[in-house]
Amino acid sequence: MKRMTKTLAAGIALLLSQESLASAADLVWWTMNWNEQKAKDYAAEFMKENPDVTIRVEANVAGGLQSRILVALQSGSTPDLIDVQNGANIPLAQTGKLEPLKDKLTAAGVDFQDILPASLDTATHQRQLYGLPFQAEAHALIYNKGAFKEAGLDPETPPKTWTEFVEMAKTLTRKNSKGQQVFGYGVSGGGADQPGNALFRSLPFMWMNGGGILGPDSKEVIINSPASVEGVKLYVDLFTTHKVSPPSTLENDSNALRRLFQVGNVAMIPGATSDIERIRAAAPDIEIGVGPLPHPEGKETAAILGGWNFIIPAAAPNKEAAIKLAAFMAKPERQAAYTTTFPAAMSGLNDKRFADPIMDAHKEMLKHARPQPAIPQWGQIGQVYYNHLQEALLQSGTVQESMDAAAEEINLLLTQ
Amino acid sequence: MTLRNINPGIWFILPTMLLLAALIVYPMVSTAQLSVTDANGAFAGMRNFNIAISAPSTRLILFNTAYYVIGSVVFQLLLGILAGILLNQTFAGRSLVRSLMLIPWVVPGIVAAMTWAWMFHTDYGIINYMLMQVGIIAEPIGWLTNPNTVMPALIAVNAWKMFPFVAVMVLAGLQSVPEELYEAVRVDGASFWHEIWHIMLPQLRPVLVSITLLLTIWALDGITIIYSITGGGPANRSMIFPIQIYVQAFEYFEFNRAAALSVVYFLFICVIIVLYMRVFAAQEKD
Repeated sequence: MKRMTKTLAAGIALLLSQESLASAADLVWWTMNWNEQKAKDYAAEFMKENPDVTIRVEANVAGGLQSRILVALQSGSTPDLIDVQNGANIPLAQTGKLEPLKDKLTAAGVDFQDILPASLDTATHQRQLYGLPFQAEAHALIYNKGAFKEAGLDPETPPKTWTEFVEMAKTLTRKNSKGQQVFGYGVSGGGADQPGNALFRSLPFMWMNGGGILGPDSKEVIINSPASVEGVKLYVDLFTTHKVSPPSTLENDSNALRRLFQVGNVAMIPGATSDIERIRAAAPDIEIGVGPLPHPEGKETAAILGGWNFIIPAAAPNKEAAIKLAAFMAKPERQAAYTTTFPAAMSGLNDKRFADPIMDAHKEMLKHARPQPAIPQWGQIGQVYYNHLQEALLQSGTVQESMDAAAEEINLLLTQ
Repeated sequence: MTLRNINPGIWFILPTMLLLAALIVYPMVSTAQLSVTDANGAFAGMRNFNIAISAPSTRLILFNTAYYVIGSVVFQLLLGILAGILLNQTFAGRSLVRSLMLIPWVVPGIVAAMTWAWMFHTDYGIINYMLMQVGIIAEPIGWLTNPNTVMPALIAVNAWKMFPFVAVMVLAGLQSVPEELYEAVRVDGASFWHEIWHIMLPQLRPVLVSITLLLTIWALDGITIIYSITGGGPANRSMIFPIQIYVQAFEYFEFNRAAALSVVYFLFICVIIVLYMRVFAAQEKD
């Protein structure tokens, strides 16, 4: 349903941006709906310091955000400052309609040394910086301590290696004392928020094992290499062979999995710190444990670097003021309050908001997080991979056969 | 020729024609133009078509589309004709049943789709729950995730959604059948089955010909049900042409390829319409 409204939303965005053109004196800031109040408060503070600027905050929803921004950029009448998922930053920069920010933000006092280097990578296109990261996050393994205890596992030691992970998932898959069926792990293999959810959960398994979808220079397809296939196979086997993921796996996106976790149906899910907050709010009785994502024996863990960046369109009517506002928001203490997970400015992590030890595993995972490949075809590559991942989950072929077919299609995409 | 000599009829239809030109002809021309150019507007020949047609999933999508359209239309007609004939009989509570039957058709497509998606859900769906309670199945069935059941399930939803329309049209058609015809065959000792076969269906022919065309067109361009229930998944098993076009254009921003796909789909529909006209128009003459 979310995607259905995309076109409509694009139209509305066009109208909104027209409106912003009509009153060019106002600086228009596109924030996200969950951050609207915080953005308004910061806007008020900024306007007090800069009485000559008037800011109008407009809230977006996540569904179809990238296309909405794209329509605004193409139309030439744009907002001045936009919050965008870091995965969309480079594709938007490739339109040539974003403002390069490094020099101007440095002049405005932004300390780039403090910003997580991998986050800066998500905004760097052809050695130019086209975004200012303000939020960074990576998945960790969230688990239900109660389910661990019931299954006779130590609730304080989550699985570290793949072997332990599979063993524990099997042990956790059982009928609990209430007669409820519990599954060890939630594989995301369907639902609305795809291919993103499946990608965030399975690509790290390939990376940890030395594989991936594309090689380091994003030119070579390595998705059917032994290392990658082994990673995908772990993810697929959890559902097909080990049967530790619920029968609805091919319908479950991250929201569905979190709900299954909240009702005690699934004992381990990967997720961000924002997932912990949501689980706590919905199911305060569940005792949550968090550990790093399990890795292959003798290798390091990995995760996809998620997060959000500020971007400024080249055609923004109030570019100078927008840069000033971005620099204002770049202050670590403001990032620490504005983010829904972690700030991209590393010193912001010292804020007391992040002192809760439950976040330690996520902080640890942030060090192992890598940005997604930054090429224009990445969106379609994700979809191709996801289709063949589903083939493997449906067992219409082996994992190797599915990934061979995926490699062929991705190669075709790269040559087109 | 002066303005005065122009047939006044032209002036009356001119505003409509202009509006149609703007809303139909322009988008069509623009789509055709997009399909043979690249993202920068330069002429690209048949490149977009080659890419669109050579995609490994194209054959599956074409098959799914035909499967969906034929399955939907057949079951919509079957259910609709049955319901129409049934509701033409006299029984207590007929008006109530007639009104209730309209519900699926009146419910907005997106609401129906989301409701069915929940009913079909593997773990929480009421369909699996009931079947397991009664003991018909032992394990939950992944209606929307099993490649063998996903299309039949979607066709069932589409048939459920549209059969009331057929029933209403059939009912209207049956009510215009003169009573004398029934009386005549009854004198000859005809059964109810004979009445259906030799009176009702032949009398309904013109109605059925028109609604079949309408149903076919709606099945060909309807994306709401599939898009919101499965999004074309799992692994393209329920992907149909219109959704593929939408995804290419608005999720990948490949407007040129989407335009090429649209042109291909337009030709596909043209073939169906021509066949349809051949078959039915020929019969009309008989």
